[in-house]
Amino acid sequence: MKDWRAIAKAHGLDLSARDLDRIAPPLEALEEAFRPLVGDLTPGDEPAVEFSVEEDAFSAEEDAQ
Amino acid sequence: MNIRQAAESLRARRVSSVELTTAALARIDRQNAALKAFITVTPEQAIQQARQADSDLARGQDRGPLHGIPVAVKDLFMTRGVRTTAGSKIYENFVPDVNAAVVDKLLSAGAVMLGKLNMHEMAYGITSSNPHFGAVANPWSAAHIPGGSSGGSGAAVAVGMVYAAMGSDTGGSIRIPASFCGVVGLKPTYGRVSRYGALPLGYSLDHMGPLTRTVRDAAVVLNAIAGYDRRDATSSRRPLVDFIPGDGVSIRGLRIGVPKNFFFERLDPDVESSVRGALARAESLGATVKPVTVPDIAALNTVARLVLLAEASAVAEPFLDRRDQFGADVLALFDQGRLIPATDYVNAQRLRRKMRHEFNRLWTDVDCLITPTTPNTAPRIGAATVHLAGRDEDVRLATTRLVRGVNALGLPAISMPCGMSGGLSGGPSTALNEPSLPIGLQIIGPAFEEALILRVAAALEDSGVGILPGTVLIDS
Repeated sequence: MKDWRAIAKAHGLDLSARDLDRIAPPLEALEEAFRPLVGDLTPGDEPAVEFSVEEDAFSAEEDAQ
Repeated sequence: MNIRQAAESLRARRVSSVELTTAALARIDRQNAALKAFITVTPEQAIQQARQADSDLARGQDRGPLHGIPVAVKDLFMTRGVRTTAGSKIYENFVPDVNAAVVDKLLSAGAVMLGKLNMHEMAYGITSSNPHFGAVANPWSAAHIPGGSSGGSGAAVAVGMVYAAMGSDTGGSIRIPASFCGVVGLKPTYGRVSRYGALPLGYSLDHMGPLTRTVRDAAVVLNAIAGYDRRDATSSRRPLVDFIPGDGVSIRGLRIGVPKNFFFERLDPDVESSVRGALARAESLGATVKPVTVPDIAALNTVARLVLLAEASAVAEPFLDRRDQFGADVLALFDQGRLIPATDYVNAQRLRRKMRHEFNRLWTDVDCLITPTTPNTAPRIGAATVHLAGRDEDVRLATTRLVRGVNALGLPAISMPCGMSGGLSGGPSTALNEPSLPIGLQIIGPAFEEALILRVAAALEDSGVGILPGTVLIDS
């Protein structure tokens, strides 16, 4: 189990004990569901969101017109 | 009256846009105190636009089926000179100097803008119980939520305050209120409708779309708002088609997939029987209903939740020191998102692409999928859990369970009414002491196949799938 209080502190977030108690259970549940999925990834699996130079270049061309 | 009927009446001079608008404003005046559907109403502007619409029509200047039709937008779409709150204290006094792309497109199509609709704070939740602008009530039962986050949009359309309303959908926020309010809600493909000028929740998950009373009305609005917009980096250049299904449209020979796993698990029995009834109807119309196994949707939901937590907190970061200005539920989600490591966000986006490829293989076997939209009907206002299949489930997780993953896939999906709890005719509910409430079914299609899912929905609607005409609880 992750120490969410320590993680919040490391992030520089000043969350009250009450707020931390409120967010720790859903984060823990998400962590449990998410961590095993990461093991299925291979280096060739690229993210769904990436920077597109081509698109930006096209917009610049349009701006110039 | 729906958009199509109103448009015919306008052109036959049986009614004017000013009359339609005046009637809609009167309805808002009468019902908004109870429903809390609108945050801001703009009557003077609306009447002025309606006069212009009438005058243009009289001169033969016809802008199409939305010409002179009263509509409204969720209060996260920027409107020039009219405050845009996102249902929040943070944006309480924000008056934009530009219109969102969809607002401009609706106005260009001749629509009459009645104002800005209430919503879950910052679009980050499914109840629309807004702590700053009031809890939106479900038009079928004021004790129940309308769904969210586009709750004001769903409620306003259901009671006829407007003919169409714009919503946004990041994890089901168009389809859930459509399901709970008994209206049609369309989430187009990611990129089909510009996000420009819509205050963001999750950049890579936000979709803009209409809520309407009929399937063809949703298509009419999509025709008006779809298309490439260079101001939105994710906007698609795909050619547009006419999305409006023809009269007597057929689904004969179409392969409709029915998931064997996930989508029909832990459902309210009334929801399951209504959706299966609609599937039987599809089969009777000549479609082939094929049971299929879908990829791991629970995993997809996990990925979508993680992406949203990180993206939403990134958007809200500059405001998060004003903790007393947020509702407790929304603040808790923002706090969670701030603790997501960057590596997890990137890995979630990697998993998302992989899952999208897996999911897209389905389209070789079937043309679309039909599922329930929500596993339950509208929960009561303030309920923290819903009871399904013998166990209590968090109300937000249950309500988004069947819709959230579709946002991560970016696929088009529509929710349409398919009955009421307690029976298709709206009889007494099977649940003790619960009123009869709408049930929604969801049709999911391949990317950019909005015309296909609209065709299926229209065929079902034409065949009688939906809610029989009745009275909503709050005077309509």
